[in-house]
Amino acid sequence: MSKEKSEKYYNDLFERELLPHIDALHTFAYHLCYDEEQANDLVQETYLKAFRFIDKYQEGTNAKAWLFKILKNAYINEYRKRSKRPTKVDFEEIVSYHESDYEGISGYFDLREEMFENMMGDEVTLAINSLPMEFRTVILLCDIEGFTYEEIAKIIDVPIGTVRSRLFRARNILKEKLLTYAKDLGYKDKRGAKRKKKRNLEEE
Amino acid sequence: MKDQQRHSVKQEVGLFLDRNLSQSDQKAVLNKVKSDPSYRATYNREKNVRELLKNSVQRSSVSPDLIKSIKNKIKLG
Repeated sequence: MSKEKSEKYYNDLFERELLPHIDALHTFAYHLCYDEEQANDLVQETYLKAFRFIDKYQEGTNAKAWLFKILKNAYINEYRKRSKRPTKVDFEEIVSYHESDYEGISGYFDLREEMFENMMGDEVTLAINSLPMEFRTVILLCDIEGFTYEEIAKIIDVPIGTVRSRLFRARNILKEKLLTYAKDLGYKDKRGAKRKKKRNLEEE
Repeated sequence: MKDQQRHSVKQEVGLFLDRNLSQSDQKAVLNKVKSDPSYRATYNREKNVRELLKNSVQRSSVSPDLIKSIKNKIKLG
């Protein structure tokens, strides 16, 4: 830490701008590792690192994004090594494909409103939790924490195009999972049925 | 063509809801939401699913002990 500013200044800055994000950081940490103790360790490590480099932080800038980046790096460095689980999907391989897809940034689902309105939170949480880590991360950062594509790109150190394609892929996986849940609840997927019927009538 | 238009609307609405449009583009989207029922339907559907996701993820609230421990370690460091 720099000696230029007083210890009190940095302590106040820490309390005022960094600590208020602790719950959001813990939510993110928990959804990365699914272990309360590990999540606490990760959050603690993040804050200790943040304080160590607090002189690099510019007052009034994006403290939340900065902390999330530190946490994500800490998770990658420490916790991912421990699990040694290989990533099942080659994420970058699909980037170029989805970059050219005009649906690439398209939003979420075509689930009918009445379908998802009746879904239990647990089912949605399960669907999110079952996503591969890279996909889960972008959903958590974009849809839960409200970061922009640019902020997410900086947090996870990938190009914006990669953020967009991961979001696209993640949302498609979620869509399929939620559709399965919806069908289990007794809803029928009638997407495209009207169009198909109309086309058939026109052909006749 | 209609499919492409639908995708284009979804794309625009998605960018709006993901907070990735300029201010003028945001205004344009909001105007279309007000004036075009089919655009509004897409907007509402996309917004509802995002809200469902956001509300489904359980938010943590860290224990005062963790905050205390962090503060203590910083002071000791």
